[in-house]
Amino acid sequence: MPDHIASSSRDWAEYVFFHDNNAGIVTEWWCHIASSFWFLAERNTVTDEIIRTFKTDELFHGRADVTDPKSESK
Amino acid sequence: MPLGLLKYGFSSKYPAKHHFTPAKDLKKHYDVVIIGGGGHGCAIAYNLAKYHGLHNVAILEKSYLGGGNTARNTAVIRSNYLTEAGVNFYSESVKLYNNLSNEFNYNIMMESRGQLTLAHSDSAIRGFRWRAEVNKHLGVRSELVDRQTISELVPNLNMSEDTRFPIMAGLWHADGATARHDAVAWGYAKGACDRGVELHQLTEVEDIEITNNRVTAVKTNRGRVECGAVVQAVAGASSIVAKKAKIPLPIHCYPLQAMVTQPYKPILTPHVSSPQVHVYVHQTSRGEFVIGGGSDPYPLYNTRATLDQRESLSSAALELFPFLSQARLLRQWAGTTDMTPDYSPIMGLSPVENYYLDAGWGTWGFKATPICGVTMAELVATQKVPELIRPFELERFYRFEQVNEAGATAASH
Repeated sequence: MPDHIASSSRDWAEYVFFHDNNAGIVTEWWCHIASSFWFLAERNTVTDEIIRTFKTDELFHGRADVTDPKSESK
Repeated sequence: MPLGLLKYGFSSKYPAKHHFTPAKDLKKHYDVVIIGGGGHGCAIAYNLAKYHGLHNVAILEKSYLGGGNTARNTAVIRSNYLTEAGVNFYSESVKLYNNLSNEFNYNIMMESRGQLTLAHSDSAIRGFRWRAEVNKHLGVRSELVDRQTISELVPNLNMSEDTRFPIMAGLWHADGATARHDAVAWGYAKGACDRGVELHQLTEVEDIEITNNRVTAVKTNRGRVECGAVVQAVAGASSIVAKKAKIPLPIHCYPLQAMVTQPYKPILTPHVSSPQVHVYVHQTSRGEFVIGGGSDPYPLYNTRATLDQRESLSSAALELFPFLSQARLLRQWAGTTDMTPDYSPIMGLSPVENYYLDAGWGTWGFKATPICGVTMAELVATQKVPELIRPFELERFYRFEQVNEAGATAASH
């Protein structure tokens, strides 16, 4: 996500609208609706093959940094 | 004249005429290179050659003429959109369509049979009322109609109140029409080729050379071509081609599936669509029922047909037209749609000076073919953005000035 203080509106537009529309292998968030379980999947957007699915902890470790930059400067 | 016709009829050897440029080597330089030999690309070439005196033009087509989404769309022509920009743009296109067979001297089988969109809820009626008023204000024939009128317009529509989503009202668009989609591409290609444009099929653009923010040449599988300007008209692969010119586009590609039944006698005149049950149905001049409008739920560059969509389109079509229950399906197919964040196209200038965009055609590209040809050719020839397409420029996303086109699709989304 763009820095919410330093970013220009152009940066925001890029973040909001302009995404890779890759023809090939992509990694995506999917949700199993019955159990509300979020997981990741590698999928080929040309052949419609799902290459593998995996839990988020393979990619994400630890906690997200949610410190407010303003409180640091004080 | 009758004698000539008679002579022609009895001659043992019919004078066969090539409609399109026979295959030959690429020239070293073209004033304009158009990437994509579908309806849009051919329409742009036609207008450049006929109205702007630009004849040194090449259409580079990766596969064959009109073989992409031009062949895969369901041939719906209408202008009952919701935004002022959209209505003005598409109504101009419908006007051009009405005269296209004359313009080409080639029959595109245009049939103005009207289009009926169904409301199954109060909120849909409110939306239709809004659309009808916007349309009428801008000179498009569009009106809210009651159940009685719907029964008269489409006597074989299931008006039962004992269905999951009973029909409450409709939006009747008398200007709605259909035409033979292949013939539209062929007519434009023929007219362009007659005026010196070269159509190169099986010619894939592999790379785009840019110096000082100007395109200088394109590399193809058949050699390198220098060019004065490039237009990309490759809906369904817009992101892929634009990436070669390093232009990011706000597009996601989804397949849109449709299918046809075996042919029947003429029984259904207008085009009928239902945003609620997610389907649209019309009968072609050949008699087949076209059942369309099923977008896949996730992005994909693939035109496979799925059982999911066959089931959901069939059940929706049967709710509207139960008599189709015995119909056999002949074909099911998909096209790749460029979905934009605001359901409007991306047309006009790009960040690269002499590179023009004709992209983001989602599910609304076929109906825009003629006006797209006129406006894009004007832009390329004069370097001035025509007022009609100014709202659709790529820059709008950077300014957060989207053209939110809620009337963009007849059925899906």
